[in-house]
Amino acid sequence: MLKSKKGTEIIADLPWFIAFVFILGITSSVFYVVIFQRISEAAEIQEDVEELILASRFYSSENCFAYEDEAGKVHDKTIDLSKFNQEQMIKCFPKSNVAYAFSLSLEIPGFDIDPIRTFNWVGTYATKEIIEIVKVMDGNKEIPSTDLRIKIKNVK
Amino acid sequence: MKKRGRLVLVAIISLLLGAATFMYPYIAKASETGTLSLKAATARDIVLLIDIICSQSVDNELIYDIDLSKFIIEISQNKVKINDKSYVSKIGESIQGLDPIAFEYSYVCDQDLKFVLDGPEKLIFKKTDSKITITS
Repeated sequence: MLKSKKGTEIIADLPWFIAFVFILGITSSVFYVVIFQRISEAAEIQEDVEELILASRFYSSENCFAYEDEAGKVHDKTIDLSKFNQEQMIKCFPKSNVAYAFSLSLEIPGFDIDPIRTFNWVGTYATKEIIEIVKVMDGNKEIPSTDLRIKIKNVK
Repeated sequence: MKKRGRLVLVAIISLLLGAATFMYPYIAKASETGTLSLKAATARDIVLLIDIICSQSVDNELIYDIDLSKFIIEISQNKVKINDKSYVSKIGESIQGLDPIAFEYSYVCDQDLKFVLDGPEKLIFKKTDSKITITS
């Protein structure tokens, strides 16, 4: 009976070869993780900075919910009630790969206003909530100071 | 013959592990102080500046005074991408080539921004009559 000597040798070395590939893979993975982790840490944005900058658009920008008068002046921290809807949110906060999602709600006695959310908001849980005291314009009628609740969550 | 082959494999594994251990501090240091960190930090800085200028209703101008002459900066589709000039080149208003370690980060803007900046020494973000421009 002929035995394949070479075939037997290959089978005998196979565990070593597998060990070699395994160690090579682990080493490469560790390299990758160490390098890119250090780079990410070096370039980390301080907590609160990015989400607060993003949140400020809701009550500062005329393309979001800020009230713009007939003269074209945009009033900071004054919400135009007619704009406070999901359609305006789509224009205000277009789809992107941004790390934060927002949910906004206005609490006005006598008004039943549904919360509005950015495209990437899922569920109800939020990691943070900020409350801005804003004025609200319902047409030409000014509603005195009310709370604009902005819920924030990190979606990355 | 079998034993010699096995010894060679063990030697290779040992050499590899030794080289890896020796090189770790050098690679980590190079990544921290080199262009990789600058790319990552620049991408995030530019994104924050775009977020700020997009969220404000008043005309304003912001200057980012950092030498980025080693990079080509691509701003489009709500993303900032920093490419190394040694891998890519600017042809007209588009980019040719691929940087395997380009950094990108997303911003939010209600305007559709599209800019390609080749080796800028500084960046000027301007909002005039609600229109945003980014120049060098």
